[in-house]
Amino acid sequence: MTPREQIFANIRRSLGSTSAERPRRMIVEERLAQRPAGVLPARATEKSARQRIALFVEMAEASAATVATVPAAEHAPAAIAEFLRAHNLAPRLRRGTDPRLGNLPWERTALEIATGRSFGDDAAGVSAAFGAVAETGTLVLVSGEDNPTTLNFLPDNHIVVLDVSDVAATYEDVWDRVRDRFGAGAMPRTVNWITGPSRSADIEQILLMGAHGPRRLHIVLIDPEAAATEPVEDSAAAPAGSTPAEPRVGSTLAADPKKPGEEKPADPEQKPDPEDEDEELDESLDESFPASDPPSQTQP
Amino acid sequence: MTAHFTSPAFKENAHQALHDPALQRALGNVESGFIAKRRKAADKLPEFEALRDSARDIKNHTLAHLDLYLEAYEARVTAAGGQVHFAPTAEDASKIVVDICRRVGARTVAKGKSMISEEIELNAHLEAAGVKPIETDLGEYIIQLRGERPSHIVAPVIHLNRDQIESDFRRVHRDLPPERDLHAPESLLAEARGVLRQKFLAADVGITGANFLVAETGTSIIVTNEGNGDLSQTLPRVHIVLASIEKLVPTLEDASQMLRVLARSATGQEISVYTTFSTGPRRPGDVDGPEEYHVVLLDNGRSAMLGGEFREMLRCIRCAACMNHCPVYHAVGGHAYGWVYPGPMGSVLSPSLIGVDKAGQLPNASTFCGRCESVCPVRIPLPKLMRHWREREFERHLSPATVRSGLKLWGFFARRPRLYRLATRAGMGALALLGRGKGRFRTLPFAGGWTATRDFAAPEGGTFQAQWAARKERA
Repeated sequence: MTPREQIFANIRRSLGSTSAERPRRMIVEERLAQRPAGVLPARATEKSARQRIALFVEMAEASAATVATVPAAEHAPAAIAEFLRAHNLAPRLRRGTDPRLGNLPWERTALEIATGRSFGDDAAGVSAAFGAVAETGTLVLVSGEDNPTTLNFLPDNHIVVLDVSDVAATYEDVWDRVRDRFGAGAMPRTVNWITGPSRSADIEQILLMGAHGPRRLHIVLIDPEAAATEPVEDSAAAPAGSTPAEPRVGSTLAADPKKPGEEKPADPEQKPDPEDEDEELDESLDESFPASDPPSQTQP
Repeated sequence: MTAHFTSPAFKENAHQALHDPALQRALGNVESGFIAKRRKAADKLPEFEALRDSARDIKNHTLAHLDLYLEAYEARVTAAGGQVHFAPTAEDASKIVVDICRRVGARTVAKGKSMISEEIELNAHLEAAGVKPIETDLGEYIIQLRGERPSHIVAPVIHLNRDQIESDFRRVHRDLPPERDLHAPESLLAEARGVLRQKFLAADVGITGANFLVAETGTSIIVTNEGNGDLSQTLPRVHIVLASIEKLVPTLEDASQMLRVLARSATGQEISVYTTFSTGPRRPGDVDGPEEYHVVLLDNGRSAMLGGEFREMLRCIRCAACMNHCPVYHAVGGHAYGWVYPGPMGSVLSPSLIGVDKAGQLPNASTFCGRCESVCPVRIPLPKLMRHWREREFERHLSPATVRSGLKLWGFFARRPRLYRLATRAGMGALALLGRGKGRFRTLPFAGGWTATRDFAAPEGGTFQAQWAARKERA
């Protein structure tokens, strides 16, 4: 018996099965074909498109990423140049050959651009995101010549250009898009979910940023309707290059279409103190989604 | 090579741990950090309890069809250009890895964090074959410098303080200026980052573990915060994934359900910084990534567990919530458990993997407070499973003679309720009489184990059964 046969024989003996049983095979084939979704967080699924964007930004910032919003793709190079300047970095970067990056008007900036994979000598890498997930502020990147994986991990500063139309509510939404692009059952070599910059808490449980991967993660969000939800440009409390989270806390969480009766009306005058932003957010989340809420779906 | 363990000496290990002031200081970080963070993350997600049910159901479903999902997984890995190797034993798994390293002429191997690698003692096998393994997770790197084992499955150096790590770095990083300031944890991290960056770029083979394997697509998933696993698997020419057979889930949707409970249970994060899905080697046109992709699937006793009363343990996703909430772990730390897996999950898993004759002490190291089960993201009934091991231990005459005769004596009375009531009433009365005025005993015959470290309270009032009967009458 080969080692493979030995393991399969042991498993089947333990399960009391022969592997030839039709019903068992059908159950497995059906599950792989239908892919039931399970429990999905209402915090993301019950949002309008605009609220979903605000939730993404809020969660990404909570993970210590910074976000700059630009009204059109052509403004991305300037936003990237501004980020590098704000952090005292040389105006140099490396990117993949993704046409979404290649077509940007880099010549309008003084940036020195290299393309291709990184060997660890680059201070800044720029990628175009395949998508993003609002529920946790997660970026989704896929490997390939367009966006080499080494750019996600070797440069100290990782800058990701993200189109607002690619921001999904849940991980599951992104899997549907991956299947559309690469075919059912197939995957690109690597899919990276990235939520914030690298960190470690191994020493005495103290959280330290910049372990092996990038020390900074900066998201350039292309959002033509940004002005509608971001009326205030106040960067006093926010890190350089970041858009302020303050007005968004209210706008994301105030309106919950499922429970209009339970919701306190949003008070436009009442803005959270920037110092207590996190606490305010936690409380708002608690108020919006009390623990007694029924889950949106349960696993079969 | 045989497995190295000190589990049979748990009592001695625990005794030493309790008298180690540096360890006790470091262990304070377990209780103060993990518990509140997990609570906060769970409270923020109203669906968390439903997700725990979902995660449990996914794992149960997969385990019940494990042979078929393994077949589907293997076919997908092969279709993507990868290779699946089956390893019935720990020895087999190490040999497969060593053979791949030899074939490609590997001199150094960059390793992401992998508990399976610890289980099969891969580093010793690699070194014996002249291949240098380099642990790249910050905690695992420190462990390797010290020649120790991780004391926690998520935070390997939770048993250490920064000054201990500083002296290790000074001892090993000899080419750096001795007068450098290493006191701040930030400088320790920066130094490790600098040293390891060179090693990533020079490594010939990268080895990672896997948090999950996806049958639908032939994908392996790793979850990290540092990014070391990604560098380990992206830069070298060959990527080897080490995983045990129960890591399988059916689909990407199922994996997403599991990921929603994993980080929240482990570190209290909404999601870890890096969740990486890898499927096969470099594709045509790719400018980076490994040229070879191997998966080594380890059984090592798990297929046998599948048919027995410890099957539920195979749901474990290694989040460490059980040990983070365990009063015994808080008191003695992970090394006292004597093998790779500490805490409640280790107390159930280790006897399955290395034998109840060697690890039988571990299921006894429990207060049965039930906190582990109450936080387990896949709802493994850990206290029940520990009780099963205690029964096995008793059946196989592995318990010490004093325990056996004590239990026999108690069993004799317990089967005779009248005699039991009579004896307890008499015993209680005698103790109450003796202890009158003092309220407690400093020493008691046959109870030295108890009174050596604490007083024994003198009974007051009737026995529990008597009080219970009286209470029922009143109601």
